Amino acid sequence: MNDFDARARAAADRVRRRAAEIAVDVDLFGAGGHRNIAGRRALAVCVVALVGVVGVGTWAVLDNDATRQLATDRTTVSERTDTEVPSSAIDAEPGPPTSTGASAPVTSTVVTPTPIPFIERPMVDASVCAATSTRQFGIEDDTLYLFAISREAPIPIQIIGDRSGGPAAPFALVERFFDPSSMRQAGVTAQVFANGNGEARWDLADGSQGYARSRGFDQATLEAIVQRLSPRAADAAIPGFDFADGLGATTGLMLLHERLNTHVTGHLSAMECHVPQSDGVYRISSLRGDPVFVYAGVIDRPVPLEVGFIDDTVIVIDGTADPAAPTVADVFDADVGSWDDIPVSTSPVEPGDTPPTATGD
Amino acid sequence: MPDEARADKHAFDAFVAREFAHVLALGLALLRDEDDALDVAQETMLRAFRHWPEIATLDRPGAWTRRVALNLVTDRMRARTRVRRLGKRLMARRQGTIGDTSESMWDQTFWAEVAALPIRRRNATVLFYVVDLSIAEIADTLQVAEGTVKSDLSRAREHLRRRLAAGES
Repeated sequence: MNDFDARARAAADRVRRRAAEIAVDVDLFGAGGHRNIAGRRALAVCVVALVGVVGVGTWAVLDNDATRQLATDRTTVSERTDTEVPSSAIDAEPGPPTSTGASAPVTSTVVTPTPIPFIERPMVDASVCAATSTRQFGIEDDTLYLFAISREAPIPIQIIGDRSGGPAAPFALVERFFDPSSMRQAGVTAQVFANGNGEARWDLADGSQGYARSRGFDQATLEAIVQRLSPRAADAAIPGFDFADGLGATTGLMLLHERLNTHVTGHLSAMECHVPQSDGVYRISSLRGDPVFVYAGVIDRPVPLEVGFIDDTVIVIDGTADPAAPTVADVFDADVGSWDDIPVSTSPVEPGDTPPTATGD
Repeated sequence: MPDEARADKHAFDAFVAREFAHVLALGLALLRDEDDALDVAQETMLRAFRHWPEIATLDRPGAWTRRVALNLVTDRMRARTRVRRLGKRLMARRQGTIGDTSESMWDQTFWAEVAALPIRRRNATVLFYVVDLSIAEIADTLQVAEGTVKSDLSRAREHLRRRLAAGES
């Protein structure tokens, strides 16, 4: 062990010791001690109150049938409410094209894109686009409601797209609603608009409804995606759809990721800047977190000027097309000092410019 | 209380007793403020309590709580940044030693430099040094590949070594 490591470990050891001292001192279970945090800070709504004081009553609430049913029926028992397959399966060469349509073998394999490191402070050189404001947004272990059409949870969210292109390539987010309040007109509808955004809804035999929002697909592809979706049992861990071309042998599209819309984590950092030559205003955003948050951050907004990657960070640029517009290639991670010097945006969230919305528990 | 609920409660109590200090240490290392670190640790455990029926089934519930704690720490650090941007220096007094004054200047510089690392490297570093996790455990906690953790740790340590050496010269 070199000197640096030894000193770092010693510093860490001092922190651990201090934490242990505090932990002992904290009245975790309301049984005495010197720092009963619940009493000292109501804001914390701490474990002391929940475990030690409220105890039996609260636990009884948590233990009710509905909660247990929810945990059992709709939530996976993995650490996150999502699933993935080993990279060996991801990298497998797809076989020759098979028959198209609903008769194709059903594959529920899910492929998770490469983990996404983060450019925390997206910035471009002032000569390209001079920064005017910044904005940060995030949700932590929270519920994600997309497209302002449903407040239902838990519901499944699935991503169908091209693995190599990720959110920079055409993709669709697929949801399944079970609550009538989330549902709209009956039957089947699928429509792709002039800007490349698409939307589909279809009724299912069990009374639930499927919903897809796409970007970059033509009408035929959107319809082909819907045709290849077969509903899973409503009590499945992720009660969404199996995609009958799961490894993209026919369409080149895959079920990239899936999870429930609960316990989602994601962060967005954005910088707004001005290009003097064209008087254009641009917003440059970086996204990280659960894939559904990242993909939603790309699709739940007006069509961006550019979506791309820096290493594995997803960068979105909004603004008007112009030769002087900043590009993803111009973006770098600013140092803390430079970022802090830029005013924080105080403008209200603009319609259509909303990051994925969430509510508290 | 039914027997099953009582057993669950005891399991949660044991979980808190086991994990609280780990989570608190993560907060102390990065936030350098005992009140803030306690808030993070309590909020983490509160979330664990809310989701206990699910968390209790996990193979490694500690990984979940550490991930939540690190995200809460990140949010709190960003909030401090916002406060500074507004010209309020309320947090200035909060940087420095923790507990008694046994921490050396080297310690304080070290933690300040760790806190300034990019998020993923920062998280990998504190999990490595403070919680003493293995590469595999860090990868599991942060949900990234082990190779990514190795790369992040290597770069973080090189950066920290260089920065601290420069500070001493």
